[in-house]
Amino acid sequence: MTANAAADSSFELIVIGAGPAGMAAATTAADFGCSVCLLDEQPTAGGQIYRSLSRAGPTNRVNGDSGAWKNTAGKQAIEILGKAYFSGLPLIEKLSAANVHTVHGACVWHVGLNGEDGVVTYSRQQHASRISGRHIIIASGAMERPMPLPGWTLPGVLTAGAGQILLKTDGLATDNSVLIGTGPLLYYFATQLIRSGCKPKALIDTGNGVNRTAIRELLPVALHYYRPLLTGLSMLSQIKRAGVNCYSGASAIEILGDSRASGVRCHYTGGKQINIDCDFVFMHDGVIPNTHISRSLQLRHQWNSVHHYHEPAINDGAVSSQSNISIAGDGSGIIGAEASAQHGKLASLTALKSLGYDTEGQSKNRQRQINAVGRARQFQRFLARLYPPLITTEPVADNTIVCRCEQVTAAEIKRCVELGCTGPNQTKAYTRCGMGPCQGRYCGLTVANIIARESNLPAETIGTFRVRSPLKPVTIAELASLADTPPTHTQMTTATHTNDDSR
Amino acid sequence: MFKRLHFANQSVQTTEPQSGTADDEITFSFNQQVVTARRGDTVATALLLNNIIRFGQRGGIDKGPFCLMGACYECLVQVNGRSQQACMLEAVQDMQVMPLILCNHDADSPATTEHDPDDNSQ
Amino acid sequence: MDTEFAVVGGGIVGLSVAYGLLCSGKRVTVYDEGDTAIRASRGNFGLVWVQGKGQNYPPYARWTRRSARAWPQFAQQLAQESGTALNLQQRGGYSIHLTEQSLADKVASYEKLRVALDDDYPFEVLGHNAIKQEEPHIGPSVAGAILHHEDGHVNPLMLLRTLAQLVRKRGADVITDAAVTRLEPQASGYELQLQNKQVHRAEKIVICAGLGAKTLAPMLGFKAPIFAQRGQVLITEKMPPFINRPSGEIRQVNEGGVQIGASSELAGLNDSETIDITAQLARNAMLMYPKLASASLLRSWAALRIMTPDGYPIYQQSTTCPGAFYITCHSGITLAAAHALLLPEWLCSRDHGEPSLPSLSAFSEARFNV
Ligand SMILES: Cc1cc2nc3c(=O)[nH]c(=O)nc-3n(C[C@H](O)[C@H](O)[C@H](O)COP(=O)(O)OP(=O)(O)OC[C@H]3O[C@@H](n4cnc5c(N)ncnc54)[C@H](O)[C@@H]3O)c2cc1C
Ligand SMILES: Cc1cc2nc3c(=O)[nH]c(=O)nc-3n(C[C@H](O)[C@H](O)[C@H](O)COP(=O)(O)OP(=O)(O)OC[C@H]3O[C@@H](n4cnc5c(N)ncnc54)[C@H](O)[C@@H]3O)c2cc1C
Ligand code: FES
Repeated sequence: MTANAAADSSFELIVIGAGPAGMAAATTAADFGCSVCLLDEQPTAGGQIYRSLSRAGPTNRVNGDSGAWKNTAGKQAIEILGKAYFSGLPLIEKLSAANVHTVHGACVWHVGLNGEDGVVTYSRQQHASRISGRHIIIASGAMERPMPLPGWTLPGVLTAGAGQILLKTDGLATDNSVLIGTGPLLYYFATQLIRSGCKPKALIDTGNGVNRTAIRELLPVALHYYRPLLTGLSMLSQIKRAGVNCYSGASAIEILGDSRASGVRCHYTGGKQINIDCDFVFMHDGVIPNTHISRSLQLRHQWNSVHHYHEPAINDGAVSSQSNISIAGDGSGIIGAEASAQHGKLASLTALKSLGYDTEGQSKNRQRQINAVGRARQFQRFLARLYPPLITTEPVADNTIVCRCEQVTAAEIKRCVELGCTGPNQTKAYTRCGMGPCQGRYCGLTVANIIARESNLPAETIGTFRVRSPLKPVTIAELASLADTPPTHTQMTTATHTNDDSR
Repeated sequence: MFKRLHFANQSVQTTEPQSGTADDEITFSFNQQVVTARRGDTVATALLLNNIIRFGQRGGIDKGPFCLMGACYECLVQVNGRSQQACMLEAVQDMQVMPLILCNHDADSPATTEHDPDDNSQ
Repeated sequence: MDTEFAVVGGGIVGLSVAYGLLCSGKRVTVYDEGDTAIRASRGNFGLVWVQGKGQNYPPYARWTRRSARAWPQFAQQLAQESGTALNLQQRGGYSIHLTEQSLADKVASYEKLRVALDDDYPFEVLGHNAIKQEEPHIGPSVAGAILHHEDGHVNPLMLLRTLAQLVRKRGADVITDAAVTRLEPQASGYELQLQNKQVHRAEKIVICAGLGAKTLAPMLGFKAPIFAQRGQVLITEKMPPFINRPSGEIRQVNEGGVQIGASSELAGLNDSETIDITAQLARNAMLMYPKLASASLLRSWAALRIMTPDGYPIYQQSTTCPGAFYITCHSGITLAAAHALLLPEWLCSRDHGEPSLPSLSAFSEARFNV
């Protein structure tokens, strides 16, 4: 994609996303005196994991020690949200002290190339700006995997991540909820709800227990990851001890309700059926990399058959198939928060080197970072085998809505395979799936999965939606504000195709 | 229904040195109904706290917030004549928020001719 | 023989032709590429458009109008067979002008065409107030518009899908993900080699491969002097209906989104959208309908038109390989009705000389002889 037009200002490095990866990348570059701009659409730095953490500002803390809080509210916050949340403070504080041009509330909606430079277009408070950078690091993180189930579009159904955001950002929790899905984040959220005094009514677990391939992935890194493993085990026992009804091996899950969620029905181990009333449903089926920016640039991507998602192809130094664009953190394939920060640093050092900075002194750290990221990827493979996404074990029911925006069902996608569609793009043209405001973020993987299943093709051959600008909707006026020449009549006529004689 | 936990009712999570008192409270409207919120809340948070979970309707289907991280666009509402994500929009005093209601229509239904407040021509 | 007619290309043109042949009782196989093929039929503007077409070439104006007039019957037939409405609307359409001068120039050229068409060219000129009457949301900087009563629009993706469905229903073999790499005349009929090395045989071949014809058509003696012309398009979120009639630049689609288009650029086979062009489209759209300023833009895209040097279609039977045909045009939506309803007569005729439809002789490749 090309950007063509002049930018408002230019930097040596532009980092998109201020999660652990982006913060680490930006501060590392600033340490070298590199001019760096960091963009994030959230109002504060932190990314998904440390979201809103900076709002619990330093005034509330004693001696910069995240464990010691002045007031009881602070203590309760730690107790409910967990210590891991507050471990992001050093990164956030380092960023606020660093010489980084940070723009919060900046939604990036186009990334292009102009000769040697990358050009990033973003909007902030409905005002569009363009900046250029010699190198770009995409650190746009992860999103939750779509989990299409009958009734998942009903109001009152949220993702577990959304539930966590409410808790972290505004301290909100609700009673009378049911949790559906699998994976550490779901269990973690369950324990947070329990500690909030809002014990969920039930945990409907789609997982099937430990399997041998998972163990095989784990062995080489078990020593490094014993702590998260123990935490993981203790979470489940906490949930059970608190008296939450847990139903494992769940299948045929349906969310019930007319104009809002009112209950959940499913089968669970042993073929028994259960019907639970509730006000809210929180669902979670693992996280997937947010690849919209890298895909819009048509960088090389590959199918990861362990995780069942597409990820950008990068080298050890996090550089993509385009030499001045790097991808760090979960956006490069899920690695978790801690490794994301290391990966951000690694990406930054590699970029600095190509920008002509002397990074020799860091070469020992570099190998250490590469190893750490490698271990993190292996640990995530273990988790992926342990908690396989529902879509790989159970086909999507025909009447389930796959594309939430345009309300396209699984049956309609299947019909497209009969009409010769071999991938998501023709399917989109035939059904409108992926044409709504979310730009296919919440249907792309499901559509690919259904096509693969129906046509008996391996998933890696199916491909992805072509991502086009804007990456997130903007107003016509915002786009128009970037037109750099006054309107003239000649432009008007070249802008119509109907005038076939005009050339 | 969602409620604000004790820890958040105190000042841990606010930028400015305000306390969680009445000064902090704002009101705005959703579909003509008065909604109370706290400064800094997003529209989505405020509506959920007020037990409003239907933010709109598209193609005859009720819509409520889903991801709260700006990715799904299920939380779209109308503010100042344009659609915006409730989860990415900070609530401010006296804001007028309307549900986003879109029905599928076909090309044969004629365009509305009623006066458009945004159109100052003529 | 594997089939009577091999139609190479499963875009709007190939599918319209295939559908027409099937309706005439022919055996048809359609060969098409896969999911990421260059396919204008997936990225167009959806106009069934008459005004401006053939301003300097009355045969093209006549052919276009013939198709536009055949559209209601065509749409009804497709809807009946498939149960899906195509949302065809032919209540006229505009060419909107921001200056008096450009309006006057356009009117002058339409008047010339009207004379060439024996005074039969139903357009009227609307000044600002008159267009405002028709389109309450038109902007103050619009000088006026030409309303042509034969113009209209349709849902082009529904058209594509419906044809894909009906061609199968009427018994065609449709092979997707099957690029044809070689065409060769045999003692009787033709051989097609596919990318996967399979070889198929057909009595007759119709090349409707869009830009792919550039390499395929010369294998059977055609010139195929075509090139890609990029067009960029915007689409907004769904909005309550506020635009009554389509124009060459802006239309509200049946689902409610407003489509804004389309640029004309030479960019080779690059089908990426660019900020500079889309920003201009956005600004012009705001001048025409100021209400659009606050509308959310959901997506922009670019697609590639298949252009001939003079912009008119090509309908040609090979002079060296009888039974091999080449069809291309840059208004495949508008011409779909003519392609489905009128072309079979030509494709099925035993006559290897002049086209059986007199109107087609104006569109042979002979016009590119230097
Ligand atoms: C909802 C959710 C909840 C999670 N909760 C936990 C948890 O409790 N514990 C845990 O260990 N892990 C959690 N994870 C995983 C964890 O977020 C990641 O491992 C870690 O945050 C990855 O860091 P990152 O820097 O790669 O990306 P992120 O932290 O995700 O940061 C990416 C940043 O990029 C920004 N961004 C993305 N696109 C754009 C754009 N177009 N324009 C501008 N900015 C953009 C986002 O606003 C975000 O701030 C969660 C993930 C998700 C999706
Ligand atoms: C921006 C834009 C706006 C437009 N607006 C309008 C409009 O408003 N009204 C209108 O009437 N027209 C419009 N058009 C033009 C219209 O879209 C085209 O005329 C029409 O789609 C052409 O159809 P086609 O089948 O010839 O080509 P395509 O749709 O490009 O299809 C060609 C097909 O051939 C296949 N193919 C190619 N090579 C091979 C091979 N070797 N083997 C097998 N298959 C092959 C391809 O996969 C493809 O499916 C517009 C075009 C553009 C780009
Ligand atoms: S709830 Fe998903 S974008 Fe707001």
